[in-house]
Amino acid sequence: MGKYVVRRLLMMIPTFLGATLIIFYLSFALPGDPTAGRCGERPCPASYVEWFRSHYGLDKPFLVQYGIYMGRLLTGDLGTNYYGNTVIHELAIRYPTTLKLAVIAIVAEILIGIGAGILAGIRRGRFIDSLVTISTLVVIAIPVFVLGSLAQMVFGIKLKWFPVTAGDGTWGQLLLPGLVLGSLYVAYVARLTRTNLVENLRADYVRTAYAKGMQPARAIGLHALRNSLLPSITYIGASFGALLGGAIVTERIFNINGVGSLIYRSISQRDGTTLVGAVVVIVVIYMVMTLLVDLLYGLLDPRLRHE
Amino acid sequence: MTTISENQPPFEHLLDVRDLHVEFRMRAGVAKAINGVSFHLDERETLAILGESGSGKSVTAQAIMGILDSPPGYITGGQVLFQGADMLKMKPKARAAMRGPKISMIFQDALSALNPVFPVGWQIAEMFRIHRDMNRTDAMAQAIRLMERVRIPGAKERYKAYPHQFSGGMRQRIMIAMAIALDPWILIADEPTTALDVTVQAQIMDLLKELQEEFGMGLILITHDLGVVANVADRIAVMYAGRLMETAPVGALYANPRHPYTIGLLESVPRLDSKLGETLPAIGGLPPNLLRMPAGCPFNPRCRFAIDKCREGVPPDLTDLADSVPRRAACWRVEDPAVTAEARIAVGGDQS
Amino acid sequence: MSEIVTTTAAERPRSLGADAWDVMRRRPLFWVAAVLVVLFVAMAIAPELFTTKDPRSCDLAFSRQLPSAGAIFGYDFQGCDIFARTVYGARASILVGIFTALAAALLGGLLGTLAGYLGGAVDAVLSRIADIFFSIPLLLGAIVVGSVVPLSPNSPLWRCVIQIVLVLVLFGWPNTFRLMRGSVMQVKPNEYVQAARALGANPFRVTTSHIVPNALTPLIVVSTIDLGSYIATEATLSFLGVGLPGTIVSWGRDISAASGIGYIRNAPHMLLFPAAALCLTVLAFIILGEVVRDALDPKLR
Repeated sequence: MGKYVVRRLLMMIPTFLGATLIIFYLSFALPGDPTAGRCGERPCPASYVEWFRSHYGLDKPFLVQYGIYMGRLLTGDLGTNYYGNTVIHELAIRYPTTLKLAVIAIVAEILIGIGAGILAGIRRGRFIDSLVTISTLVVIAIPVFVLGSLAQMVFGIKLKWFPVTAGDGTWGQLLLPGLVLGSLYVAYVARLTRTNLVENLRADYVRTAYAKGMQPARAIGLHALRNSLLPSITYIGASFGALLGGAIVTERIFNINGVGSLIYRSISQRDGTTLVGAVVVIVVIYMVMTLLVDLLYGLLDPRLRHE
Repeated sequence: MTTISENQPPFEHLLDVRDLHVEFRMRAGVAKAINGVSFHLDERETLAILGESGSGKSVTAQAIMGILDSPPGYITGGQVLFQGADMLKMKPKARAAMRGPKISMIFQDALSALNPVFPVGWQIAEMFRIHRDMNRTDAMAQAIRLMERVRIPGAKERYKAYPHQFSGGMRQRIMIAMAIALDPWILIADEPTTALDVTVQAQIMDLLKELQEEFGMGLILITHDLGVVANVADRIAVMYAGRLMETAPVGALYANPRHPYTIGLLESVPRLDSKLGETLPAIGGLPPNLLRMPAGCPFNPRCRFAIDKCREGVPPDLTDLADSVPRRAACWRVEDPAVTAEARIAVGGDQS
Repeated sequence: MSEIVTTTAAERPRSLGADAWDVMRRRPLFWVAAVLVVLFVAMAIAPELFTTKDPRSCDLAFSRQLPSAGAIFGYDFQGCDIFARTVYGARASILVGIFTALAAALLGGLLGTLAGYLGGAVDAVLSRIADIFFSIPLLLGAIVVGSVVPLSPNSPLWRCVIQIVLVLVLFGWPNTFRLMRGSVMQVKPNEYVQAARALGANPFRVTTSHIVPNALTPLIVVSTIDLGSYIATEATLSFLGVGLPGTIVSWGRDISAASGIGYIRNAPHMLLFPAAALCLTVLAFIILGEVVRDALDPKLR
């Protein structure tokens, strides 16, 4: 087990370097001049531009800039943006909000997604199965930005069940946006759970459980379900990174001041330092989650136990 | 169970299957998998159900156990009497309670039949915990005792091991331990050795035979392997296309097969006296499609004795034959001298 | 059960494809999806068959008018005919969806086959590269690239489509790569492949005629389903302003323009129709993929 973790951590190094290199390259290739607009109406004087470029290291070759950045990153320093704020600070004030969104989405995946999947799976071919199969299909087909706008229209404006926007980032305000953010993954989890359950209900070992005199509740609830939930758990873990990425859309629709909005704003303001910092943190979280999920899978499925 | 009850039991047979019908309702149509199967099993007796794959022998076993996949499988008629009580009329809960203490089953592929995510010892102990309400420690001790009984080396240490960590033979031993845990009256073994190496096959069959005597179980052995049957079974029931073709004590059947299908089966077994390089006769053709059964006797398209009568009407279900031992067959021409003569040639009887 | 299936198959041997078609054409869902796909593809090829109006000739006098006999979907903020815009919007979405799915299937399929078949160093290197692109969420990566290389309003449609396709493939190929690598590794140890190798078939032949055809099914199914989600992603990018420029008629742009809170309140039809067209298209491809998978997977029958 320990050996496996070390090997996986080592494998993450090239992935991390490659991913950060790409993001770093893209962010610093952002078009436009970061000094534009910093000196009032007129373009900045040449001396200021020169100072600005050398202060932020923009005059150095790309790979040198990347090296310096990575060096700082290892000490936990994500740099200071052109507005004089440290990126760590910018992220720290916004991550709680975005994490709340992601937590709401994950909880929905577990409760609604797995719940609906189990219901549909054990009532295969009945009404509830068709309902789950069709409604998840519809949810998958509606892009999040459409679903968000529709949810805002129906639940926020027409029915007034939820606040229309979520400026303060309280749990109550974030509930609807969180459900919208998670909707796609809730639907996938439900379908995945159903498919695996249906398959496992026909597995030989479930037949054995019946042959051993187990009542259906135990044969299904313990023997079939334990195996059926493994892929769903992996999927839910892996969806975490995608949720953080998807927050860009949701936060924009509901006007939430989170990491997604920060990324969006840093793009429009040509603020490469903030952009790199925000995206790198998402990538790291994503990679760590993937590793944790794999380790968890190994714990839950003895066939894959890493010894 | 080691002592037989002294009073005369109020039933004729330990297990009595009467006119069982099973069908599978699928998108492509209704497949009549079992069409009026009747047989019985007595205490301490071994009955072998012999047939090709698709003949319905596994379905029969699952119907008796009450673990048929439904949908698509449905029992559409008949009775399954265990000690005189019809199990098909029981409530599901009562039926489930019988599986384990009264009647239990082992399967062909122990790897897929054991749950991959639970330790083997736990899976054996589950029998005691569910049926006997035993606590964890006692159930564990019982499971280890059983693992030792089926000769799993290092039983105590391997209690916590998972199915994939065992060899095929060891896995089948674990299945057997689980099935005999509650000292059942009947054990159904569905192709218990088919997935195993030849050397291991013999060990498993020996173990089954040994346990059957020790526990005094009735054994239903489902197989397609004539070799396995000969050494173990008391009686044989030959199955084809969801019907029984012939039932007879094992010696009588081998010495003197009466149904043309049985004759064909025995002919296809290599014998010590067959000449080198001689091709073995095989039954031509394939078993019928259960969705579109031929008119008349289901075996008639492959039967070399088939006459018009065989193509027109289904032969009556198993009828008693004139013989020194109790035996039955379902064939229009079974008492026909032409067929009887062929049968003798088939088993080499012409040379004696 | 399986025993019965075997006997059925034995009596009338048929190809898997013919069998799958037989199952598929009996499912109403398949026909719903097929009709929708044909409809939207036809819109993409020849929008003028569906409407005589020009989606770009607008009259502010009609701004935000509700649906009526003259304009069955009503008018948008600019006074453009929403029906015409919805019909013409199909082209960009369908082009992006089809070409991204194709390119991702080709690239991921090819590299996945190489990695799965050759193994060793080739597999290690390709897998690490795939990991890198996989670790950046598709939408996030596409948004960043979209803002680094913004599409100018003067760019012709084909230029925009090519760029968006390239961006989506860049971050989307690891999915098809992993899928194909997995199925090739599953097929490779099969006896018929070993037999072909033992008989001296060269690696290229073994791969093309024995491994790929048997490993292709999951790739086809997933690519069809992904086609729908690529269309959704393109619309999301356009919605966020980092996809198609506003000069090109597209569902994403129209939904974006219609989703301001004031508009949602007063003129929901502006949002509803392009959104419905988008969702139906995505739905059609997802259903198609699923029906094909169900038909090819005898386990679920």
